[in-house]
Amino acid sequence: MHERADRLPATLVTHDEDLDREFETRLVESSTLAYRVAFGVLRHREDAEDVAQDAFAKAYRSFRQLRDRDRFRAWLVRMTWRMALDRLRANRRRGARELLVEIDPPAAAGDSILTREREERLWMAIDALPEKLRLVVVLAGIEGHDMKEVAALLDVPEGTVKSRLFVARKQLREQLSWMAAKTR
Amino acid sequence: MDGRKDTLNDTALEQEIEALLSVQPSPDFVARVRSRVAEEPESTGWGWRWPVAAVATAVAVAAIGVALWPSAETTTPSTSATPPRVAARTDDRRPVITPPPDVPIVAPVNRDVARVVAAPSRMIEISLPPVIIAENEIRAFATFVADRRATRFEFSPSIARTVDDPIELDKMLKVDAVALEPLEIKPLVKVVELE
Repeated sequence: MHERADRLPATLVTHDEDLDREFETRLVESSTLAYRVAFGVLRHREDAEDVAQDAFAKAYRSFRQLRDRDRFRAWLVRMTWRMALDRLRANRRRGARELLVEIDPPAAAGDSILTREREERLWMAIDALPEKLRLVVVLAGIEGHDMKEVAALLDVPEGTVKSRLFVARKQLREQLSWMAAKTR
Repeated sequence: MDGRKDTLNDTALEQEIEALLSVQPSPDFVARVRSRVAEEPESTGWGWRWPVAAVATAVAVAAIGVALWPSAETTTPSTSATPPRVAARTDDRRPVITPPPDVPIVAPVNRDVARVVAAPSRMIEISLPPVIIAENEIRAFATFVADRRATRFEFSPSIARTVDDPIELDKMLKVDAVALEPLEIKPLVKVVELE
């Protein structure tokens, strides 16, 4: 009896260590995903990092139920998206930040004014999409995500992702051509 | 041709969106998440157990409530539209013991236990206060019930010396005949004559 009682704390410590190790693995492989999802909503690097950090902290609290890799990533995407939207609304309410002015262009993007304008228009067109379509566009736009993976992340059938993406791209094209015509 | 153009546009659009989202977090992002997580309370695994514990507690409370319900009903009068049926366990068929005439009648103390049926399937035991009924009242009531069963009604005043003596009609008090004088009916005086 005493032997078992003595072994118990050691077992718990080992168990917690396993859990922490698993979480570390998930953190390393999903940190960019969470960050990009948040950036897709906020388009502000520091805010996106803050939100992604909060999402990971929340994930850690419920990690025993999220040990499965796919489940973890899907949960993380949804949570980050929702938290980023909340942050965006809060920022807008405060009116402390002019989001469009503070867009950080990707390092690889062209420096020309035209490229910058083109990016701004694309972001505006993405922002104008309904939330469901916008999430699909962002997730599909994150490098390495095919339809199947997006479907797994959103927990919807692949056909749904395909049709949403079709509609979203159509709306984006229309929006962009309308903007282009307006500036001419 | 249009379809080909759309496909090309789709590809271009896809590439543009990918370029927009090809951002990398700062190099110390993961380290900051690690330190943030280290500040978090440990995941104890109780997260999913709380709802289970709450449900179990609710069930236990409900079970205790059901178990204690009958005793609670004895102290709380029912306010429902249908009053509770009270089935008093009275020994109607027990023999009536008549005390001798010189023995004073002592009222029996009825400490019977009644059963209150609050619901069709539930019976509750309650203790009733003692009911004081004189023995002669009990006997009178028994006589009345017996007569009622025999469809015989006797409303004559009892002339028996004791309550146990049979009542016989020939022992009734004799009533003297009353002689009534014949009535003479006279016609009323006409009002016209009076005037």
